[in-house]
Amino acid sequence: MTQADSLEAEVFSARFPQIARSEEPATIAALVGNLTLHEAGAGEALVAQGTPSDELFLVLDGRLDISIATANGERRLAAVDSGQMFGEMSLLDPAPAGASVVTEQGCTVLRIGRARLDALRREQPETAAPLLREVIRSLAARLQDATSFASGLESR
Amino acid sequence: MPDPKTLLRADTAFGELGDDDLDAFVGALEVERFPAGAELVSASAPSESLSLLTDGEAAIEGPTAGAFGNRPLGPGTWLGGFAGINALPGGLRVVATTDTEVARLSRRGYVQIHDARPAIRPALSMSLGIQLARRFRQVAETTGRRMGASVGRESAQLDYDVVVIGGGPHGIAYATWIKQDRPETRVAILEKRATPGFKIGESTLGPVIRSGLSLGLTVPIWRRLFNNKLGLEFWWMGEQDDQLYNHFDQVVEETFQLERRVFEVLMLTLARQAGVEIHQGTKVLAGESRLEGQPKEIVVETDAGDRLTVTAKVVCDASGPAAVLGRHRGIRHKNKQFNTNAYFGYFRQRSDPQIPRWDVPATRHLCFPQGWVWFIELASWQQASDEALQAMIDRLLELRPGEEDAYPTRMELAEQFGCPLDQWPVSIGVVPRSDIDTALDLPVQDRFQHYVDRYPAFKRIMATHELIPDPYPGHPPYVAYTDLVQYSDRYAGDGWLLVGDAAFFVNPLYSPGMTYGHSVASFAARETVAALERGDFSEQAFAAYDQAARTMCDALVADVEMMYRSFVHPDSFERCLLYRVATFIGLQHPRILQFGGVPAMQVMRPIRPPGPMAEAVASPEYVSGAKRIIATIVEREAAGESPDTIARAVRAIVDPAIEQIGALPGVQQLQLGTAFRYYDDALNRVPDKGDEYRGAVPVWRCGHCNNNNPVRFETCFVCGNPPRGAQPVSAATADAARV
Repeated sequence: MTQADSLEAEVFSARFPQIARSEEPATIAALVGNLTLHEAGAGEALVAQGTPSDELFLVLDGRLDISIATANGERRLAAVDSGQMFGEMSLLDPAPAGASVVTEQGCTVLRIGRARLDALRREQPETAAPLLREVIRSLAARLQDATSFASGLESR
Repeated sequence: MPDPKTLLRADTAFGELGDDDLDAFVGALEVERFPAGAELVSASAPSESLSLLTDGEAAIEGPTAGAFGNRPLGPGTWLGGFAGINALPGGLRVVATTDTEVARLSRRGYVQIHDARPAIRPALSMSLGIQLARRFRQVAETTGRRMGASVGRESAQLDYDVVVIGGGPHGIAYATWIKQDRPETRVAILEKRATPGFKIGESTLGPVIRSGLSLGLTVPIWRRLFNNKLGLEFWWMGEQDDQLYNHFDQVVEETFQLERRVFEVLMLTLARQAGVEIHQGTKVLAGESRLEGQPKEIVVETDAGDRLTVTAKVVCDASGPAAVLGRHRGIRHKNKQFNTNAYFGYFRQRSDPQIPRWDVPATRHLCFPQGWVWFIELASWQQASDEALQAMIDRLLELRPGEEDAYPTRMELAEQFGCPLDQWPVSIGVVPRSDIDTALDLPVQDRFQHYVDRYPAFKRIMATHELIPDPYPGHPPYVAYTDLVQYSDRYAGDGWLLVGDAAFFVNPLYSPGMTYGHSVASFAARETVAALERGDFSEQAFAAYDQAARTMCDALVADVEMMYRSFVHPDSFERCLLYRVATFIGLQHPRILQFGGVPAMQVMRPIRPPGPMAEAVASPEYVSGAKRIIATIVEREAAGESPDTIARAVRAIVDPAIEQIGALPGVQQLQLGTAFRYYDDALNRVPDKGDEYRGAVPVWRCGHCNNNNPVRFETCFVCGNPPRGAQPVSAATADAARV
């Protein structure tokens, strides 16, 4: 694991335009400085089902599979690609992870845990704000989607 | 009762703020009280503020509310929100269940505070985020399902009887008709787009309007949302001069020019009300789905990136030109034999083109040896937001089935719901035959103009029109479609079927896609219900549908090819148009008589189209006649015969047929003369019947907004004004004070 200081803010901005848009480059540079860069190997589990987790991950490069263990074996639910994030739920409401997130071919992610984020919010609120804004936007979109599917279940 | 500051002090995120920040935030809130039953957040109007429930209880309502469980919302809960900062997904209503107090933060208040107090923005996001995350877990628990990236226990499947891929008109009609005929059927529509957007395909004929009525779309609603028209107008033009020849009109019934986004929002709303489940922003991954055998397992990807499996007994592909199943199975092809291209844009008419009868409210066709040009005037709601449009449509549906006089005018609705209205952009498109399209090698933006320059009459008309450079988001000034015709080797199999443009697409003329697409969808719904009743989803169970869809496609291909080929000569153009209409009338006149002849057609009834095998266009008599005309023209052109000689050969086929039909006593009782300016009741061509001819649908044109009102209206249903001048005028004569 290495600090992400060396990562150019421009690279981050290109990958996550929804976060960087309308922010000062200095703000994005400061945000990136507070994220931890992690190069994961092929088949590495960044989140393991059933294990406590309070981290948010932003995928810079590569692709990960989200899957759950069921009675019938591993079931793949979704994929996360570069430019997407995962772990919003665990970050905001820490609990044992409901699914595993495993790299396919290896990937590069940026990660931040709850304690670090809380400190950042207190010390540099301007830096934390754009990330949090995207976290709730993404979560609201997922919730919208989840409820519209759930209503399908309800009405039966 | 708890004040906002006490509540926020207890909040994980706000609790960490300093007193100054917290006081500043509380100072930006406006406290309001509401009685039990009051609406705190509207499902349709966009939310303008974020509210903290400070006292009392509230409940979430709406189609998806069940997912949130039954626990009431209590003090400390965030409600509403504005762009980018939302406490709840859209489309949900929140209602006070006791007397309540809320502290509201307006968007302006938010902007001011976040500039002055940087710590507040992340605290607010965090506080909202924690509630969203908990709500998410609640949804997952309520439904026992796993969703998103990090919750839940196990994967659940959505299980339906019928899944429709694509939420366009045919998929919606198919799904809703099934629901009407067999209410216990679980039907879902999976639509790729999150909300309906721009599509071409604007003109409609009676069968589409009658289908809409059968789905719950009443005439007053059609009139409020769409520009009406009374029929079709055809002219022929050549390269030799700027005159129009052999005017042919057919004014039989009030139909409408559709802006497709509005139409589809409306139809989706009706389908939802009928009990069809609609999943938008949901893309079907055919390659990962299991489409053979039972049950079908359809893998979908949502806009949020989640993958889910949906199971069904019957899968209907109504995905339009995307043709999800047809392409996946490799059974969809382009027709190589006779094809057309289309080049179109949007315009404003700036002055009168000085063409007699141009004013008749109709879809106008300018036919020429290489193809034809459409002119369609639209009422455009393009500037209305999705939310405002939906709210307006919801209101119109609430007014159903009240008296038309009780409906607001179109302009009142526009005002009330903040939906800017644009009357009337004109959709204009050139459709040349691919085999003789002389513009195909030009850049796309020059192809339309190529035909304007080539045909002097077209040029004269276009001189009175001005291009709209950016009519719709992402729509360049001119759009080109080439080689339009597509068909499939098969239209159904074991538990699957193709409808609408996903089944086949024929060359445009006489709106064949929507008109006959509804007929095909109506038959598909009937056959699907029969299969569900029998519990038989074998290939055999859908064989009749497969055959009917093929018959329809073959018939329309011949029908339209005959018309395009006839355009090479002004005489064949007029004769073949009449031959087509006459044959249909000959075949269907007993049924039309039953309803009271042509004059009675102006009363629109909710009637589902009868299915391909009962359509006159698919009758063996008509199809063989059309093929005979095609063969005559093709062979004689190949032999180098002159256009006049070929036109005489066409006449030799069609004239006896028209004469025979016109002489039928039942046909003469129809009063066809009321529907045609240039024909009498026995279908003989006569001179222009003049200004006193009123057409089958008498209307008066509003001198204020140019809308055409049926004569029984005392004021205009668009702008509310009475007619200028005492006398109602016919379809063909405009109010003198046209603006």
